[in-house]
Amino acid sequence: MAIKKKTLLKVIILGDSGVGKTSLMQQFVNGKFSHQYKATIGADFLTKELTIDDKTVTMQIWDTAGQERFQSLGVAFYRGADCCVLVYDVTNQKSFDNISSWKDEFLIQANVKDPENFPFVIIGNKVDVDESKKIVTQKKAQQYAVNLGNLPIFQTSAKEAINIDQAFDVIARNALQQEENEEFNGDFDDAININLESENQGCAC
Amino acid sequence: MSSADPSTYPGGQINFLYVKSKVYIHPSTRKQDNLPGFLYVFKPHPTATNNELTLGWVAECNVDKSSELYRTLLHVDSTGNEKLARRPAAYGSFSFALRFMELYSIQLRTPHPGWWAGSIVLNSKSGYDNLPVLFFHDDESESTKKEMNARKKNFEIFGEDKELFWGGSMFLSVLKKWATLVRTTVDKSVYLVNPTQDDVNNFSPHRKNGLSAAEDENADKNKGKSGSNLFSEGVNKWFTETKWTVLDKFAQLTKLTQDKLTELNNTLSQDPYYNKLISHPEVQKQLNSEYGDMAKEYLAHWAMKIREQSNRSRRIEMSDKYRDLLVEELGINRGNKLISETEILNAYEGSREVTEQEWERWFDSEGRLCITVGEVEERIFHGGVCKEIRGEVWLFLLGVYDWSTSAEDRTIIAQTLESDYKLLKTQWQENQTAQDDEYFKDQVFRIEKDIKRTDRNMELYKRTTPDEDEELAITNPHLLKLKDILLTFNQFNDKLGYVQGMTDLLSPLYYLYQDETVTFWAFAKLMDRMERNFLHDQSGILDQITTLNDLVQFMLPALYGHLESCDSNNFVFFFRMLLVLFKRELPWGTFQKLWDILFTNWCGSQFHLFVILAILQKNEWVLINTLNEFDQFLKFFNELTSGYSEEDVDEQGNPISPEEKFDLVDLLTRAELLFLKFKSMINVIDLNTKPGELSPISDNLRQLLSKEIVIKRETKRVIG
Ligand SMILES: Nc1nc2c(ncn2[C@@H]2O[C@H](COP(=O)(O)OP(=O)(O)OP(=O)(O)O)[C@@H](O)[C@H]2O)c(=O)[nH]1
Ligand SMILES: [Mg+2]
Repeated sequence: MAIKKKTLLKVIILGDSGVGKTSLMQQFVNGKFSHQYKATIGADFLTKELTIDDKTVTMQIWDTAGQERFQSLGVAFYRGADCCVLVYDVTNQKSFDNISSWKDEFLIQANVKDPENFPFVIIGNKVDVDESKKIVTQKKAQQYAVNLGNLPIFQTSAKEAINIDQAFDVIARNALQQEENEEFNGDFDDAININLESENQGCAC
Repeated sequence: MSSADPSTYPGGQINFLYVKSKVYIHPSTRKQDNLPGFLYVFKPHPTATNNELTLGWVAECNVDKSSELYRTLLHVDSTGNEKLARRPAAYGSFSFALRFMELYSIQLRTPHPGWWAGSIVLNSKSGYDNLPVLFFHDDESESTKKEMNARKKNFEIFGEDKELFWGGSMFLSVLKKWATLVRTTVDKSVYLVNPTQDDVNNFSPHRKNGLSAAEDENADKNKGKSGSNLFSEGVNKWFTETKWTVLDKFAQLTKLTQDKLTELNNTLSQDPYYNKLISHPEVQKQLNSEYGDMAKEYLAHWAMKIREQSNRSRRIEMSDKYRDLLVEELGINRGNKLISETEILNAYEGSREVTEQEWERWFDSEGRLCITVGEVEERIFHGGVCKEIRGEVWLFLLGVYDWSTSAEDRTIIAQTLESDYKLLKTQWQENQTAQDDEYFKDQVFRIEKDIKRTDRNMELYKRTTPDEDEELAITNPHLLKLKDILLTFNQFNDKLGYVQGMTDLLSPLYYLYQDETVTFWAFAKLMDRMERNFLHDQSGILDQITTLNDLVQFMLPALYGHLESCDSNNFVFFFRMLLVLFKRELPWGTFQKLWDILFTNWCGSQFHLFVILAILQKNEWVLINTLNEFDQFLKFFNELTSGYSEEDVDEQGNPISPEEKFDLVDLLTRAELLFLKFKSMINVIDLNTKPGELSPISDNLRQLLSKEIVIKRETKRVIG
């Protein structure tokens, strides 16, 4: 089995445009929030080193554009993902209603081997806003997460840095679990011989 | 025969001259099937000529580990000294042995460390014996590692021909002791073994008489010969054997492409900055270790910056030298008449922007253009315009005003446009039913969400008060104008609807005019050429990605091969550049200047694809040598201008000293030369396509020569 130098956890953040995907990623990785972030075009990722229990891992977080028509690009970015984060905006009912279609779309485009057990985490963002503006209640959301397969769910604010580390800790653990499962199942179908150094019978060194 | 016979070695043995262990055969794509073995050369008897030397390979598993033969093989490999032993079995798994006289050619395929091992492909003269491809697992071969380390100490990381040093290149230099190897110009990775003059002519057409291939072709035609010797049987066989299409090989045949990799290696290894970088102990440590992906990316950017710097100083200090270098790097043969000297020189004129005075001189007293449109376009294409006249110039370039109009005509047109805009705007603004429509409300939501995130670092678009709550309402008056323009645009084009990215195209226009009506019409015209980027089915942008794919395959086959082997030839990492025309990648003043140039359509209406091609060409060396995964490429292109922060823009939105940040001039020069080269290659191919024969040039590629903008519209309204 291939021995990887470092564990790389690939995490994809999905959700409607404007729910705060870029802001969440920035808050988690760089610990800041800005009103000057631009709408995402295409895709980008940031990485962050993490320690889970006593294991050091690198989390690679992919941020994509939220507008519906750009979803078809996902094929290029979702491949090899270890966890998918579904984000909605607590002030926007539609973004909440779309969570399950983001989930389905992801499973199709990422070509996940075992969809039943692929880890998803739900995030309801912007909880810092005035109570009067919150449209999706926590209770409704929690019930929904249970129905969707008992998915972990967090209420966060990228702006006020509420619950961000907690959410990403669970994301990281789920991703790590997924990564280890995959490694265990072994994947030798690669068309090209990668990692020549790691596994050769009768190595002379 | 007795052992004293001088024509044989004692005991029927043979003399091993060369052995390399850990040379593999990959019988399938599965790693566990890989078969290690020994590559060897032996002399069959003491009086044997070089032609009788034998080259062979035997699998490790077919050599008894306790045998004398096994010990000899290891001994010759590690010491390099010759030694006698029994002849290895020429049977068993994939084993073969071949006399030098039977050997026709050797192809070297360079390694990509960490991705794949380098390999050699042998071809025999008979062409029948199916010789296996041999893979050099350099990281397992003690003798190769030893040699590599020795070289690293002396900083000779490149082999004889300035290519990366590896087991295969080592093998080649050993082989040269006993055989004449001639590198073909058809495919620089292929060496002919003891070739005849005919072989050399067939595979290295330029050696014949110093004529360029294109001239060669014409000469043949004149003599009434059918076809050309370039496409003789032998060459055709090569074409079908390699995965490259005839087209790509043709590009190399015309000698318009030189071995860019070698050139770049040359350039870089002569570069004092680069050498400093490479010899720095920290970098050495990185290079020697299994450096992580981050370090790789970092190095790639570093190398690029250094190249940028030294290019710039080269341009300033010795502009002639820079020109020669660039022409050479791009493989443009100066003697070749396909691209004229004037065209080449024009391409270097890119740094002089059109001034206010120059612009005014182009119009007569009635404000009518008094030079030709072609002259205007060509002039603006070479240098862009100064910011004082940019707004006005764009109105012409985008087609809001026709070039034939007088100043008076334009006043009248402006009035009409004013009332037309008002009319469109009232259609939604003073219509409550329209505003209550679900689609309209959804559009307002989408537009507001995005204008809040558009160029907010610019003074013009900042928050009115720092802690203003925009959840309640946007108050910046300019942002509100952007919103009105976009809503009115939906009235004007009722199918498309707002799509993310459109605010990026609108904001620079508004910044220029700060007038709602003028901005609207300039935007509407800009959207003629940009609408295809935003279609619901993404077909317009995918078309461009496909064209780009064809173009890179055609113009930069080596890089394309690398991207393909890294599963990264889908080119989605250019999505953002394509969608909003480099607005996100380049500092404000720089993309504006680029837009000046693109809007002229002087080198076709899709010159932006050549700009991307130039980015790839300029970074070809670093891309091939330091990056090998999709996410690395994405990061590299997304951060092309990393280190340039938004704060580098002054109050007027002009970047502080753009030359310091991003060498647009160099990039545009490359892009233009690439365009000229492309055009002439198409010409050459057309000349060689017989009437009735299907042209190998795709329609996508051919369309790149057209100055007509490509218009593709949404056919029906779709939400989302
Ligand atoms: N109040 C509040 N606003 C937020 C929060 N997170 C993001 N926003 C705002 O919501 C808007 C959208 O945020 P982004 O992070 O750009 O959203 P996105 O999901 O990345 O959107 P796309 O890139 O278009 O897909 C911005 O105006 C942010 O300032 C939050 O936690 N609280
Ligand atoms: Mg975003």
